[in-house]
Amino acid sequence: MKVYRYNTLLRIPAPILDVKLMNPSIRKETWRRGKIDSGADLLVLASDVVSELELPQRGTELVYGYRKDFPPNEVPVYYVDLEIAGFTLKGLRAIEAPRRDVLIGRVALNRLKVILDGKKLTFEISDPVPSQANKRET
Amino acid sequence: MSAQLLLDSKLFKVKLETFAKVDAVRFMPWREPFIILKQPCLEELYKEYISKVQFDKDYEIFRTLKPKLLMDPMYRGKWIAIVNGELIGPSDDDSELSKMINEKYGNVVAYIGRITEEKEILELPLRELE
Repeated sequence: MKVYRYNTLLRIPAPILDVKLMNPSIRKETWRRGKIDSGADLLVLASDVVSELELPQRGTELVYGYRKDFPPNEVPVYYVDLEIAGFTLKGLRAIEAPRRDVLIGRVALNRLKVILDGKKLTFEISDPVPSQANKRET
Repeated sequence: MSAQLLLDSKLFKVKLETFAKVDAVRFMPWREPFIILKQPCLEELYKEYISKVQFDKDYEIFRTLKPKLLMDPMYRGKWIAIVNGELIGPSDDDSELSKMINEKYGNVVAYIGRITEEKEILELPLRELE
């Protein structure tokens, strides 16, 4: 189990940590700031990650933003490996968005145990049941 | 080496970042305006275009097959992938399909989709205050 501090430089402190994103088929990797977001279904990548890792499109998703009065957009889908808190999660479904950081949505969080302690401004990440798709890198 | 590309070409959408790779822009009264790209840039755009065409083909095959696969209990509710027109799956895990594609075909486009009646609409905060 690893304990991290919230980023308190934001107006409202948030659970943020550095994560590694990888395209295993061409062995490219990059580091970005990742924000834990249990409200997001998938991983949301900064647009430059897609070009930097040369991720090929592998699907589409219909996506609503927070404002549901706009019709949903069909956006490209990519698959990427994520290393977070020492755990490697393989083949995560992701979309891109014009943002600087990476949103860590439930597609990743549901493979881990994440405890947010808002009062102490800390969060913990552990892997309750290491599995094949969710194994620690050696 | 350089190559010409029409500004209003339907084949390529000229993006802002592309302009970093532009040698020159030509405006001539007797024809549409065009830009001259450096050769590596054109190759990159061509590769992107070929990938887009292949993705559209695979997506179309998925849409064509989906109604038939919905009737098949082996596929209903499962994930499948279409790669270069070839069907892979079914699988309960889309991550596994992507991994199989990486191992067998490399870093290529594909369509990975779920055989369900309706397409789910996801909620994602695409823009937020930072």
